[in-house]
Amino acid sequence: MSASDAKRAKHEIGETNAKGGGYFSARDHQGKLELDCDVVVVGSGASGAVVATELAESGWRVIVLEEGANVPSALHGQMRQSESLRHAWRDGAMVMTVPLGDSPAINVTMGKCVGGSSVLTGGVCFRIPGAVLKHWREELGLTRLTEREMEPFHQHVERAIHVEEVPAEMRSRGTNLFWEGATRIGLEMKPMRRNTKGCEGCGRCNFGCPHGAKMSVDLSYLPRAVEHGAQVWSHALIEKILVKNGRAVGVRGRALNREGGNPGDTIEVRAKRVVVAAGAWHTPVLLMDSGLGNPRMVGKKLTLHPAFRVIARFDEPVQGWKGALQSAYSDSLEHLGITYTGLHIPSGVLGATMPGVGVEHTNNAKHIDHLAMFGGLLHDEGGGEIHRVPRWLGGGREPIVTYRMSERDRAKIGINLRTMARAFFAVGAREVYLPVLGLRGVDADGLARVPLETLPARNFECASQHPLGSATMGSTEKRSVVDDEGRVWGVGGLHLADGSVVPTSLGVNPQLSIMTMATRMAWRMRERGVDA
Amino acid sequence: MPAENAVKAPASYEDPPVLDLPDRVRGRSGLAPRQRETARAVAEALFATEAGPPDGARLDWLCEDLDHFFAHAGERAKLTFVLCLLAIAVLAPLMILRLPPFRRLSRAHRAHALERFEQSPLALAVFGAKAVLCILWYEHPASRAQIGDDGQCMGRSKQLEVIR
Repeated sequence: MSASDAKRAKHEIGETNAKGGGYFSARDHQGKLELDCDVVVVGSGASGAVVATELAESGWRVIVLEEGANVPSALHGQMRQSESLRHAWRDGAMVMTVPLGDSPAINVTMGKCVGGSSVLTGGVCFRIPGAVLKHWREELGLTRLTEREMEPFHQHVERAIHVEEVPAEMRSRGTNLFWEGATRIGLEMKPMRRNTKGCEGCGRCNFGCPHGAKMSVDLSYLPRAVEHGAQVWSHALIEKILVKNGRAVGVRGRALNREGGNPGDTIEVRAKRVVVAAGAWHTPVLLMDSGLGNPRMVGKKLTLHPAFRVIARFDEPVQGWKGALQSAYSDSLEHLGITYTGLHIPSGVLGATMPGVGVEHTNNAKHIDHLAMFGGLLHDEGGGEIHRVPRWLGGGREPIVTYRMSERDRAKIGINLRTMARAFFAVGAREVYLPVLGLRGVDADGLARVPLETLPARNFECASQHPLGSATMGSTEKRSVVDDEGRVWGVGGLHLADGSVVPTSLGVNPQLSIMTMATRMAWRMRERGVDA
Repeated sequence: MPAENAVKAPASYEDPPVLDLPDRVRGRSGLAPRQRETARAVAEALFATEAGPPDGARLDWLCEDLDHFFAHAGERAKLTFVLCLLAIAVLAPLMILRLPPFRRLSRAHRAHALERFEQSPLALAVFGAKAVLCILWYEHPASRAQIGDDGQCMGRSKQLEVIR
């Protein structure tokens, strides 16, 4: 157990510290829950925790509301991976986009627990790329977002979450094989940076670090916020932002998972400032349900970094789960909009990718410990849109999300997959499993015969962990939802802080970028004062 | 004392995963009996080896675990899985010129139907069902041992505290 986890463990749920801070579960509260504070933060993930902590440490009275459960770090090591899926992930990681045009159906995974998706990432940290900032300045008019402007925020977050390079000895054998093969075919491989301290390389970051070594915000930020008086409420679903005279004055929602299966009581939090950090999937839902934000832009321009994996079978054992889950990347094809990142997935999920049924399937699955894999994500142009289905039409609180992949992004899939496959064949892979539904393993000769460029995109398995930009930042009210400090145009006291404000896709894992932008937003709020 | 929603593994398995989660969430349903039957029929065909179909007690455990999974993972997850099962139940038999429902086919016919379905434009439905079943199946110590997974990155299978 890490020091910060041990510190957090001292605060039992429901226990209040000397400054009034603590972790609470809304389902333990009987009757209507009414609270009052300076700033209420909806969402406890990478951005919400940052804003809450920065402001709590400045003396603001902060309340954080989280829809998911509070799953302490010590429990992650006790859960099977599927138990993590059912208790800490949104919808058991079975969220899919609806494909439009020639697009794949994309499986989008998100966290739903205190700490949000930061608990379930591989911990990969990239700064906002300079080329992306340049595009934002020159094409979108976000002239203040220079590398120099962002530098202190990047540094501040990197210190807080302990960003460090993954040492070579911690790379898994699967990653080393890809590294060697990629180098042979001319790609430059680089070590990744992650937010870890004392990582043992057990390869299960995506299911919550069992050793408290990944500095997710439930360990690195929220304990600091609580220490300074912030209250973190789990099982608190917020359904509406309250507005009075054009100014946000609080939020309303309800407690979830009440004992006996009964609907929970109402929660109402009054605040001088409302910060929405519910993620790019749900922040626009809250805005739509509250009738706030530019209706022509809310829910539009969603980008996903559609990602594809290639699995390779070797004659010798690989045991890809031994080592850091993600430890290397290549941006050699960034000019084409492709970034390669190392990864590994659990044996069960690997089993599902093994083609065939019965004897064929189980024989293929016997080679799971001989498999290596790598992923390639697309720096996509967008095409995602979040839709609200009215309750009278059977819509619940979850949105329908459509994704229309652009022709240029579709054209990248073939080169993306062929390059990864070539890298594996360069180091002796017997065969590769491409992410094409129903396709058997192919050898080097067979690869050339798979029509990746012309297959219907719906035949591809595709995943995303990076929903961004559904309530984007911009320089004018007409073309965006928030200004460059995250303030919602036309509504006083309402701020967005999460990935929804990121104006375009980044081409790299966004956790650090989101936290950096949230820090900048919190510092600007602090400078202006709580009553501004 | 075991929680109301506890799931017990068959006694014949040493070191079984324990799902004794007293998380006080009641009133949630997992899968309907018909859906469980279809899921079991898929699993029996999917996980058959040269030695024959999987052990019945092992399939019972899988179905219990599956039920628990969907009672906790959320309605959207359950809907996705159920739609996959529905497509398999109705359409997979037609692909081998048999009448639905899928669960009434012989195991050999079920395997053949799933193979055909996996090659069809509706392969995503097979993949969706297979994904959940495989995640649960290959977590079991017996299955892990068969595929060479030493369980290093698995949970420790202790009884869990209350998740709040």
